[in-house]
This record gives sequence, C-alpha cells and structure tokens, in this order.
Amino acid sequence: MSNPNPLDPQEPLVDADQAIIDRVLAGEQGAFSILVARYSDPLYRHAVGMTGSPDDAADILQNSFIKAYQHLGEVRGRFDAWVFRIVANGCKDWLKNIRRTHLSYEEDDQPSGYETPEEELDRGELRGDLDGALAALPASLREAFVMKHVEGRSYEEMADLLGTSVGALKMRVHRAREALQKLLEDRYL
Amino acid sequence: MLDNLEPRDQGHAEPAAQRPQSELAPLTDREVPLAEHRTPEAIHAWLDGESVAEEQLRAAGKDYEFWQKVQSETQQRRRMQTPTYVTAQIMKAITKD
Repeated sequence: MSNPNPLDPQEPLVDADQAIIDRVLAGEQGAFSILVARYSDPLYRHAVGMTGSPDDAADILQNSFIKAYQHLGEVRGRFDAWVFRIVANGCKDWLKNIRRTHLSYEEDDQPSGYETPEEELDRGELRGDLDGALAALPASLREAFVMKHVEGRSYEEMADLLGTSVGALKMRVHRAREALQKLLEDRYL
Repeated sequence: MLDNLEPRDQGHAEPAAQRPQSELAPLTDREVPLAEHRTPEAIHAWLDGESVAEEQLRAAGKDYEFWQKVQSETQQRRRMQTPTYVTAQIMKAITKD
C-alpha cells in the first residue's frame, strides 16, 4: 500500500534532498525553499499538535528551518529526519517553558467537512476539549499520539524518526489514548 | 527493661504503627477503589489500523462512538497546511544572512 506521507523513507527523495542541499551550500539560497515546501506541512502539523497553537507552531517551524539552514553543512543522512528532530526539540522546549491550562486553535482556512451546524458545534467543542486533554499529557505521550493520529504516521516511521522501538511507541500511544479517554469520559462517555 | 513511653496504647492488642493504615485513617479519607474504565482492545487495534470486525467495534458502544469522533477531528487536522506567510518569512530570514 502506498503512503502519501512525504516523510516516508524514500531513497530517491533522500538523494534529491542531498542534491538540493549541495545547491544551497554552493550559494543558491533560493533552492532551500524546495526543502521548506517539501517538508513544512507535516512538520507544521506536528508543531500545532504539540503546542495547540498555530501561531506558536509557525514560530517554531520558522526558527527550526532557519536553524536547519544555518547548519545545513552538518546534515548526515536523511534531511527529513534531521529537520524533524530540530522541530520536535523546538516543541519540547516550548512545552518546558509554557504550561497552559487551556489551548485552542483557529482553523479558519481549513474545510470543515461537517454538513450541519450541529455537527460543526460538536466538533468545535471536541476540538477545544481535545486540545485541553492533550495539553495535560506528558510530552512523550502527547508526541506519540500526535505523530500517530494527527500526522498519520506508521509505528515504523515513528520509530525511525524518534530512534525508539515500535513496541515502546505502541505502548506510548495506547497510554495516551487511555489518558485522553479518562480525561474526556465525563463529557463524552 | 525499657519504659513504656506510650501508656495510652496499653489497652490495644498491637501498637499503632502495626495497625493497618486503613484503620488509622479517618473514614472520609479512605480511598474507595472505583472500577477503572479502559479503552477496549478492539478499539486500540482499530485505531492502530488493524482489521477489526464491525460487530466487535459496535460492541464497544460509546467507546467506539467517542473514538470515531476523535478520529474525525484528528483527520481534519491532518489536512492542515503551513500558512504561506511562514514560508515567505523563512526565505526572507535566510536571504538576510
């Protein structure tokens, strides 16, 4: 089965990334925009999932890509995994510095996908409640849940990016689900 | 022979420190274990992308309904895209260097 996720390990893409990195390092700064366009969406989703804030996610993404650009000569292996680690660390630093009791985000430009106003209202409530519950999880559980369910990654991909075993990640995702259900059960169950 | 420094305990069969904690704690402070609700394994398997029979999922009742809603929300989030101004700001910042 094909997986459309652009962060899938794909050798041709890794080679293509390296070719772009070589162009940037040779002085063609504009070529860096190809890497930004190729990887920014999944990384942005990760940052929004971790922070619950589109504005903070945008800041983290921006700072991460600037950092990546400044250290581009140090990339060894896959650029996507390397830049993911920069973004993931940026999110963890953000979480260390800011503890919020309630998080929500706007999604004005996104299609709703719901047909009736009632469904839209329910969804709005769940969105806020889910953000609040995610904010209450330890960073490692939150990260695992976001990667699995918001980014739609396979456990193998997650293990590859995080340098952890598939079994450990399954455990984290299961624990995150149990915790989320416990946090939200009074309202939804 | 050691002096008994706790004469009030003389009437008890065992010293206070050896009595079970539940007997010492005020009644109102004692924890009553509640049956903990767990997400059914069939739901975990379904959320992990494994194939699960529809009847097993329906048997999970409200758990299934709850996780269907969460799935719907997370799938909406999966369509989020980076705001265009972010890409522009990144490129502006690096070309300043």
